[in-house]
Amino acid sequence: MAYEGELVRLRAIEPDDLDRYLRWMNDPEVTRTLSMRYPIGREAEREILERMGNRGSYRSVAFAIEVCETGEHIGTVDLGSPYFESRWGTLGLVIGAKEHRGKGYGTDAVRTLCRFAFWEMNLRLVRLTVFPENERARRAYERVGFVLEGTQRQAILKAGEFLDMHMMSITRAEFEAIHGAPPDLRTLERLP
Amino acid sequence: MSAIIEGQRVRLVPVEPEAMAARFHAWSNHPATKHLIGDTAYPTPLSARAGILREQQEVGPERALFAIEVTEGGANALAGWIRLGEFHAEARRCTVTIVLGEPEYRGRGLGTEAMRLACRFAFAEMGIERVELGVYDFNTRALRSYEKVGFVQEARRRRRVYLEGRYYDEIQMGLLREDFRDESRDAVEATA
Repeated sequence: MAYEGELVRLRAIEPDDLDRYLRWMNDPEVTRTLSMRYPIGREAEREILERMGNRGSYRSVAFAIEVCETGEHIGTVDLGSPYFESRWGTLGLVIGAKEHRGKGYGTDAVRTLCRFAFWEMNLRLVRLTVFPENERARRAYERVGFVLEGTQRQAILKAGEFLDMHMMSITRAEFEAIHGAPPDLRTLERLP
Repeated sequence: MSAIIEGQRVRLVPVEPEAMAARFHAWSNHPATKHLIGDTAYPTPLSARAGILREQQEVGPERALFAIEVTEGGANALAGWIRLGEFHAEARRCTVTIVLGEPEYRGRGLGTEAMRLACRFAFAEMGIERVELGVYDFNTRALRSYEKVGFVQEARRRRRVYLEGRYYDEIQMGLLREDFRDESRDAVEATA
């Protein structure tokens, strides 16, 4: 049972996921496109997962991404520290299972998390940052409907270079113009 | 007083944290089920569920959580839970929440019977004078069920919850001792 997308479902992070996260978070090919930079040990990663896996709330919610067809756990999507007053949050995406890149799973996970952000948490906007050279991620975000809102110059040091960071966002109205608005439950013929 | 509260088609039994964790986990991670009781579909890990249930397993004047088992056809099938809570000692009142986690058991009067059993327990065994609950305006099935037990609509709190992308009203209902339509007891007395 989980929050269902078309290709993937979003479920709670479990302690049993530790080995996979440890592998992904220490894989330079995975972390290359993330802001994280330090190697991480088993105990430290276990504590992070415990925190992330704890009952989600408005303050922070993180999901493990599972492929619907196979149940395989391929990554994480999360919404960090939404602002109670301003009602936007920051989306983070990791597809750790490299062999599953390019299959639309990340796009579907982002779309499903946006549904959660807008339709469960009642946020007004979802924002994210992406490295300019990370074309694949950027295209995925654009498919969901994210628009480039600006560039932070020399935002992050990676492999000896100061890199710019693109900021993208999507409003609830933009999201619903593309993906449709939710039905009124009062009009349902049959309740769940 | 027996530990099991027997009805005609359902019974209320104490919660067994280890044995029931997987079913409770599935129900509490099913978005549509959470929405029926007005909760946001935040994920909760399976690994934490037995611990959560252990904290709630003791039935008493803090909280009375029961598992609902359907006894039709000879088998005792775990179908959901019902909880009396927020006890107010001076005013002799409490709240009640019910979840039929398994969709195939919904809409068959089983929840109505479980609610009757719990309210009978509250009045007869716990000395409660008033049981109250909230129901969301799309959930006409639950509303009808509560009315069968004798609950009276007392107030409409407008746009009280946000579920699946929309606001819904909460209808507050209350059941006084004299409102209670305890047909299960009438049936027992009729056969005695």
